Amino acid sequence: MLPYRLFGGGTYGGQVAKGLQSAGRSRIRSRGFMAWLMAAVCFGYSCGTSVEEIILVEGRQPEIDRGAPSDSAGGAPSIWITDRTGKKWDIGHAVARYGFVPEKFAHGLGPGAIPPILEPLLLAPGEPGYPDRNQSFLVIGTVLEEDARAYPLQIMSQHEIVDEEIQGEYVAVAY
Amino acid sequence: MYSRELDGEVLTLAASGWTYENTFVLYDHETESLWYHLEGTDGLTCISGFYADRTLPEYFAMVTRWNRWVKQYPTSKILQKKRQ
Repeated sequence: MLPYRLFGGGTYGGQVAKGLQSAGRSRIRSRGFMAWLMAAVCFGYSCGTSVEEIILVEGRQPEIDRGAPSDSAGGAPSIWITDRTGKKWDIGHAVARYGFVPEKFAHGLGPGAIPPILEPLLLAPGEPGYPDRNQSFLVIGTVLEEDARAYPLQIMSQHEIVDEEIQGEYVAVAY
Repeated sequence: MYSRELDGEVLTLAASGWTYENTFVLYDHETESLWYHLEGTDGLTCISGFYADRTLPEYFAMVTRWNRWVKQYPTSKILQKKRQ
């Protein structure tokens, strides 16, 4: 059982921990996802953001509607899954071509829940706020055409994606 | 880290809010196609939508500690905490 005190204790903390536990029973085996989840909890809690909402995942499967073939899905029969904002996504091609199982799509938080960073602000050495070189916080490190950049996991866990331009190349840094 | 250039267009990638087998399913703002890193492949594959079956190649990236990273790359820039 996850320590509910980590989530502020009390009834709400207990609910969050229970939500994590039930969400985790069958889905969260991947180390990477668990790391993201715990990072999001810890960093969200310390940063005062409402990460708890993201974690309280219902265990139910997505609503699935099967329909007629659709051109936009590459010709495969449409299969619609509805996320919690009511937005529908056609996964028919994913099922037909790649063997995706509709019931295994999870969370469905909607596209606004984890907004990407679209205009990243980067600090260079010597600029105010550049972190001390001895600090050991985790980062995603990238080098492209000798342009090295670090993306702290604390930030990445809240946004998942940074849409960047590095030396004229358009890239997405992903956690 | 993935390229987000395709056919001369620049895609805006983001989390769709879905996960599949504990991995985030991405999408692009421009066409709302779904993008996923298929196990055993490199890069992202469009699994559904306008760009179905197209791929986006990946670039080197690693999870490490700041002190180790900046020792290896002393001129490295770092993402600042978002102000908004």
